[in-house]
Amino acid sequence: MIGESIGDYEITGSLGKGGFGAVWKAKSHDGADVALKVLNPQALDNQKVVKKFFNEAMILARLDHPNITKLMEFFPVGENYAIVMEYVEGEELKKILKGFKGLMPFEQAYKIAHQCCEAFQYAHENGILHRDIKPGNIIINKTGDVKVMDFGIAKMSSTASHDTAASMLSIHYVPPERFDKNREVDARSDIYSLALVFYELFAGRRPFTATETSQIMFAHLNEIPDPPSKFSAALPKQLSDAIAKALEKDPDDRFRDFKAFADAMELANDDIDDATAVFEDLDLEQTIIVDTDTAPTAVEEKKKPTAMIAGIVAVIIIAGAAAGFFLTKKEAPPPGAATTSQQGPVKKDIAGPGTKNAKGFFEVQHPTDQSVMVHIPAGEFTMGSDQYSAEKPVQKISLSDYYIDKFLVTNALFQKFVDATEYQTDAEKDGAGLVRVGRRWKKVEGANWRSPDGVTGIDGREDHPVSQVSYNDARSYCQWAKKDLPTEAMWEKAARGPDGNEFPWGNEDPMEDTANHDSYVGSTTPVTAYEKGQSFYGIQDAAGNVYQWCRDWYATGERTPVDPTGPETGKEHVIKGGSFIEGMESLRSANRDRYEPKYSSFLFGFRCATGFPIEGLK
Amino acid sequence: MDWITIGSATDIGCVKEENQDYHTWHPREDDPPGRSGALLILADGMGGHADGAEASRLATATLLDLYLSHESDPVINTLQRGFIEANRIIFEKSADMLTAKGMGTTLVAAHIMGGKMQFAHVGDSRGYLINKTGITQFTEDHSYVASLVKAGVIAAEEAEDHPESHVLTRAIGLQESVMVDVSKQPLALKKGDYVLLCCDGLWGVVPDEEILARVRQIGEPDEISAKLVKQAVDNGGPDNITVLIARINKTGWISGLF
Repeated sequence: MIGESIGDYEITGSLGKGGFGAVWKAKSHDGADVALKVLNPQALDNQKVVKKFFNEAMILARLDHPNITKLMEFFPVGENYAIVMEYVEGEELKKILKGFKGLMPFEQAYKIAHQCCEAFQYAHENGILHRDIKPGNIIINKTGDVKVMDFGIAKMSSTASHDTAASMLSIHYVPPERFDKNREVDARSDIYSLALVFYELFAGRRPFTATETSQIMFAHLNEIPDPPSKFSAALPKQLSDAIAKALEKDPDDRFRDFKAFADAMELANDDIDDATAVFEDLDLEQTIIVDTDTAPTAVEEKKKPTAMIAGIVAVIIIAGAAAGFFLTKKEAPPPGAATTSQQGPVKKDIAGPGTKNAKGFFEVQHPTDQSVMVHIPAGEFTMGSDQYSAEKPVQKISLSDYYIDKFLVTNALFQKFVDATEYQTDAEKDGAGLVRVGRRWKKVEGANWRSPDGVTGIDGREDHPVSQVSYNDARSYCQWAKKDLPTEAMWEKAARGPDGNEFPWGNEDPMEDTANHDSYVGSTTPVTAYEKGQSFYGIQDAAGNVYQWCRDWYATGERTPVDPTGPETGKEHVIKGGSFIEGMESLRSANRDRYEPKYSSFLFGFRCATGFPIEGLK
Repeated sequence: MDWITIGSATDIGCVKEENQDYHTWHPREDDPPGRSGALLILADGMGGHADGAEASRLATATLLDLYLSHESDPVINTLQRGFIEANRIIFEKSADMLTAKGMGTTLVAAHIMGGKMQFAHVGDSRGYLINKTGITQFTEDHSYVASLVKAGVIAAEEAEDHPESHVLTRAIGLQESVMVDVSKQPLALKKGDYVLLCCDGLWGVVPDEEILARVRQIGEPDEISAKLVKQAVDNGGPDNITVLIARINKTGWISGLF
């Protein structure tokens, strides 16, 4: 590899290897040293991960801080991508800590801690979490300054954990809430991890000495660490207390953000002098020993992060990324932006009632339930797809004008309906509803629309889509509201538009901010939330959040080419749209599944449709 | 060798594009008589493109090499050294490659001689002992979820459906050093006992009771392996599947010597 060129860079040496690729030292054409990693996107299972990585890089690229290593360039190389980073001549904090027989001199330790706080505070203020803080990710350069690397890595890992690819995990610096798959990690998780690093910095050892993975987990969850001052008599109490607070098991008990942590770690100059003086008296090791990896223990991480996903590289952010190639200072277009239309909207020029929405289509308020409905003008659209046999054939279908709910029917609306009619849903009659727990479906007692998972209620979620409703329930609502369920064709046209888009917003893969899917959130979200993911016609949640019932009985094959309504009879009704759990395949507008009319699941909801014009419209 | 019958089967499964498992045993039919006892090795590779297949093959070959060239050393020491050597080789090899992504493998090996079995293991492939009392897993999964269960964070049933059930805490080739599990004491084997090695492509979709049922029902290692692999495929085959089984036909001081 040495001597070879990648792009404009010539490889001059090796910088080691992590769990997912080698890092090389290289020279740029103007003679500057850089660190270069090659990322093979094919190895990353699919383009979706690479795209997410791009988006991450663009966000991260806005970071510009002296204690954060810079991302300089990012460009394709054949089938791969090369990432060019600032080359930092220095040593990992991990190695430095190992090199000390006693404690690190206080002044040095404090400087490192202080700069770390600044770096993370800056990143957090810019909305970036690190998620993989450990001494292996903190470089100390020749002037003794901190350079933090590998921001953003663990965000990519959350993608991978849905893949079946096995990968490595090291858990010494992982916060306890990380072990509960249902909990979110946030800034306070980074605070915990950094506090562990500080503990080692100031106390000269880890708080938990277990070496076996399950014991380390247990320690994180249950063992209360000794305050670091126990191992360093001269350590100012203020710092010891701050570290102890940051190591609280419950994130609520830690500092709420990095600024609070940084403030708590800030010493008055006098205090620093006092502490330094004491340490000097103790006559401790003054120099940094920079080499030596003596028999590392098994679970110790190597220089480069062994993050959960293989293939994703540590990147560090920097200023100004454009989509993928040379980084410039231009603001990149946000993902899922207005690229939905391949042609303009169908111009039928019906000066309909109502007001035009962002996509140029008319919206009205339905007289009975006051829901916003979008007018879908008459015309053809491409239905179905070639990708799955259930979706075949691809057909041009012609539909008359109709209205469809812009948003999913909410808990608030459903409550109105129930108040007015005293309706009992199928799940309520049954005393139970279906909830997915892990990969299995379980019938949970007490699960119904008022408590879709059988555990939490809907208080505070009035604007979330109603769920744990069967086809029968949806139909009953529609009857009361003087509407109906959309036919599959009506639903699909409203979702994907006339030109066969794969997703409501176009053909780009779903992102975290265009659809509630893939357990990013892990529950329903307000029906107005995912504006970015609105369809060609301006309806929302046509992908993700909850599946939606359609009027049709399920069948496959050729459809009636004009206003199809599905077969006369059947056993199951069609559902469309994917859910907050589903991956991107189910989010495709052509995707379909089918269930019995009384089937009630916490992933199912609905929206209504009506013919055109609407009677009684103001 | 009539004191032991060894059989195996492997399949790519329904989802993966290539088979990254590798397995072997010694001695095979055409091997010249030499080393006594029998050694079974199974590896489940990971890594993009052909990296996983390369890793599992390389680990197996390295281990076998060391085993055959160190006849006089205690087996358990040789196995441990072999694992460590395999780790070093794969780790260094991928460091040299431009784009090696997470090239690594699980590895499990069982040595049987004179009615005793010893084993060495890293990763989430498994070794089972099947005898009159039933089926027992003698290896411990080096996986994130297994640690969660052991730490009391989740219940065993939750581990199967956990979104991170495939995340490992140890593997061959991904880090500079590796901690190898070895049997603390040899396990006793009797006539009619089975030693079964398999990767998560099997145990992830076929429950232990079913494995036991098949073994008892069928008897012949080759047939059992084939049936188990088929069962895994029928159950969805989300991963490559490999099964390697040894049946003990005779024990006693003389068996294992030929």
